[in-house]
Amino acid sequence: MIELTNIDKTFQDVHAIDHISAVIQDNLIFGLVGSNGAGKSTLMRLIAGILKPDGGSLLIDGQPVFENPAIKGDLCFLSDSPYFFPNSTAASMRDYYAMVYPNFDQKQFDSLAEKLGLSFSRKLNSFSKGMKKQVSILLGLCSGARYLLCDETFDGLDPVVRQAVKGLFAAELTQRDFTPIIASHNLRELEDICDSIGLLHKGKLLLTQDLDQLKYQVHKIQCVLPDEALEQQLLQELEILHYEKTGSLLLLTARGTKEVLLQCVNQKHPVFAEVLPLTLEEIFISETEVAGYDIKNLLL
Amino acid sequence: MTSKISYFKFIESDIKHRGWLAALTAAALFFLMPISLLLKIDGFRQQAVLASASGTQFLEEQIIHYTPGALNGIRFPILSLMIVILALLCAVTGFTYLHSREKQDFYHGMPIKRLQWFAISYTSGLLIFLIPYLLFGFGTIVIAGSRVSITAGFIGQCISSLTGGILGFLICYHTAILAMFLTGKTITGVLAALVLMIYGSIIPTLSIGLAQNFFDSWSENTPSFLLKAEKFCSPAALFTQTLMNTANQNLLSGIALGLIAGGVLLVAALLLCKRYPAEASENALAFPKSAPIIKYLIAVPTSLFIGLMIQFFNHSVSTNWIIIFSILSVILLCMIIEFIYHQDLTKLLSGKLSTALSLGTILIIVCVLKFDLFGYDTYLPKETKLESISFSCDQLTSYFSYPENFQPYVHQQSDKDVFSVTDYAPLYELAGEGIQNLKQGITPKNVTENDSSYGYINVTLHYKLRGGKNTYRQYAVSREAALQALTQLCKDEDYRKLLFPIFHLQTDKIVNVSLEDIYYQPITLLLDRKQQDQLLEAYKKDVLAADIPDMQYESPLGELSLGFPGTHLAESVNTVEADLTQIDRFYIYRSYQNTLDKLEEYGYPLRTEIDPKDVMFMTYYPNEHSEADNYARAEITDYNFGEGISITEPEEIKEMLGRIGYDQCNGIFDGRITAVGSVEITLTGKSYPNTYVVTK
Repeated sequence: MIELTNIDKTFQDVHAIDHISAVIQDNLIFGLVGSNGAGKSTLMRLIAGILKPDGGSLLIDGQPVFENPAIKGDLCFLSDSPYFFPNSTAASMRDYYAMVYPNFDQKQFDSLAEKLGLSFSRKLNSFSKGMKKQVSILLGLCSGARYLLCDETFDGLDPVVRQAVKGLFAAELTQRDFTPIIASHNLRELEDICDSIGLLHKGKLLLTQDLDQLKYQVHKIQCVLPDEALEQQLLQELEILHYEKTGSLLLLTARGTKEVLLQCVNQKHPVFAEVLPLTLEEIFISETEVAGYDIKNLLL
Repeated sequence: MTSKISYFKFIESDIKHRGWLAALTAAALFFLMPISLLLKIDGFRQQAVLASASGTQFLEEQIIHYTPGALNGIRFPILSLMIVILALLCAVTGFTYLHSREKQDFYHGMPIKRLQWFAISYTSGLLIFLIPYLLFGFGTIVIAGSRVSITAGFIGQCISSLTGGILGFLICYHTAILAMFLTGKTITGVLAALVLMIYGSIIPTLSIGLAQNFFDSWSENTPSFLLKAEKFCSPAALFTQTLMNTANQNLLSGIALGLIAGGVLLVAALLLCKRYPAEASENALAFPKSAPIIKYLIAVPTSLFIGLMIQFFNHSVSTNWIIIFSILSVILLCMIIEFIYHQDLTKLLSGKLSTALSLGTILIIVCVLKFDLFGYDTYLPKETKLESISFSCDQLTSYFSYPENFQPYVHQQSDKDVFSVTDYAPLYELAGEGIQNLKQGITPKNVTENDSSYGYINVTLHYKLRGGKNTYRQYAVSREAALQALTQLCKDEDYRKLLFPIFHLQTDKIVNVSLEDIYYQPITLLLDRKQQDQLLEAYKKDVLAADIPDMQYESPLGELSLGFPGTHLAESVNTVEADLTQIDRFYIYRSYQNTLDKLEEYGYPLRTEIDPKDVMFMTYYPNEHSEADNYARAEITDYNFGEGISITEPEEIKEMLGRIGYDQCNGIFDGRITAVGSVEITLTGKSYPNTYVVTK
């Protein structure tokens, strides 16, 4: 388990991480989302022990991570722009990682690289950006590290490979103690893979929540009520996050389970009513609006 | 944790990744060590052929003399430069990961501590140099050994020199590593390494340079702590000292110096390694708070240095140029440094406080120097604080020839202290005159550069204070005053014995005595040991009784020169030509009756005039400047001026011979002879003429 308590980091005049506290549970995929410059990479580098926090504590399994090789052996950080040695090949990088990570699975690496069509003998500097990313992901996956920190890892991957990688993550989760933490500015990217989400904005963590819980607690309702008095009554009874009216059609985003919301609407004898699932993006827009942040234009 | 085996693998891997550097190092050292020695030996062999009979011995001597110094580059500067370059390359390539975010993410994201990465990069960089250096170093020793008779001493000296090379490498390597940890960009890292290498030496050099230019009484003889510090206060100076000491059999001091310097730099680098912030990568400096301090520390001395350099190349005497260019330079440098920091032209004027402080410091320094606010030039220690004063001047050094200047007599600079006197009243008075002269604009610089100052000479006074402090000042004083002071001092027999070189000699080592008179034909005196000793004793007696003003105002009649075996000038390194050395300038004056009598007694009467019968040809060259300048000296440039006037009439020859004398000595304080011209006289039986100064 990764515990962040009041973590703070400032770069000269930039407050990159502003007193963040969060807990990342084991064996779940954690998504870290936020706009460009929100502090995702900085937080990832702090968790990876590359940066030292100015304040607060950052513990993995109860131990500080900075300059602690015993703990860092359990995590592998995949940077948004992976570094490979000059003139190195996939095979030479594999051997280097095997030297660093005692649990590195060379067979798995060879097998997956073959499936993805990655050459072992070709110089990595001749690989495309996407292929380099694939090599980086494979190195991280096969390192045997319990925590895999992926910074913008899916950037540059084609849809097929992206799905394949998601599949690999899912498979790893079923096979061993594995906790991927994926940072991205793309909510849609993470929606179908993450178990829990953390939203960063301007160095602050707006929320961390289980994704299913989040979806279970917020819904969108479309309905047409017979008169305006009932509409007002409904608005007062529900915890509304967002409200729109087009003609006689009411569009509400409200907090509550599907059943409770539907029951409440049905009591008003609607002409038409249905509860729709929300996308992650819609949930975040609604939640952040409530929190006073206007990030509609920031999120994709 | 990384195991020991892993360390080996990591180091091996790091060396592989820096394979180009390993190849470059091996190739460079191969050509600069064994191949270079082979070429040098070939050169020695050609010289040995010219040395004929002693050729083999000459070759061996040259190889033994050259090889140790060539192993660390002290006698082969290209190698020492290459050691510096390789140290810089090893450090930069090993620690450049600090300056890239991608590389930092890669290295510091791994389960290895920063100090462990340091150890891996450090060791692999060291091995990249060490393996080929030792390999080719021992190869070079084997090549040298195959051509000379190997002795333990020779091998020891070679190993000492190799050790010096390694320590020298470590000094530069650690400096460059330290620079990499102080910066966030490789280019600034390299610049910082170069600055760190020489910065410490610039300060004393600068201080001396400024003092020389601004203070009229600054003495170049000053063996101040600045001059000593110059040798030790920068890695570049320590590098040179280490190479020199280890190549010159000062193994212990060389190793101690190298280890201390290398150790201090390594500890500093390790401390910074633990504190190096990962976010520093791609910034100019690793520790942004140090930016204004570093700017100040670089801008102030560098701008003064630029001012000095411009004045030097401009050959200007005025110190105003130093002031003007120092002020301009400090402003420009502050802007350049801000540009390096920000890489943004719009921020050239940022860091206003540090710029103002730098400019303010420059203004304070130049004001202090220009107006001598601390009274450097007018300083005269209180008599109550003075222990002794010693006195020296170039004219005395030219007049006398001290055996300490010749090997194997070891001459030490501090030997000048033997002239110090505790009864210093005459010298104290002389110093007072010097200070008064300075106030009137008669400065040592003017005496050196201005023809109108012939009546003055420059003297250096060494004040030894009771607290043990030594202070040196140079003044321009009149010849008469200097002569008066010296006359007073020479009333003390002990002082006279210290001043005159004849009392410095070990007479039992003298193998011959030569005599030269107005004929300028040195004659080796055929004397037995007893006669020789008696002659020298007579000379000593005369010297002790001699009138000092006579040495200035009278022309000597001739001079003795004494021969020593196996001696050579201390500066000379060519021992092959040093079988016998003559130490001359033991002048004989008319008052040296004991000496003259002994010479007469042994059959070598001193000739004081040239017999007209001995003159074959005579050509007179009038001195065109003599009328306008009463102090015109018999300088060599006056000789042979124009076509000359041939003198053939016996009467004229006789008259001219009456106006010449033995003029090899121009007085104890120089400037005695007032020349109206010179004359070339070809004596009977000679194919070349002697040149004499013609007086009024």
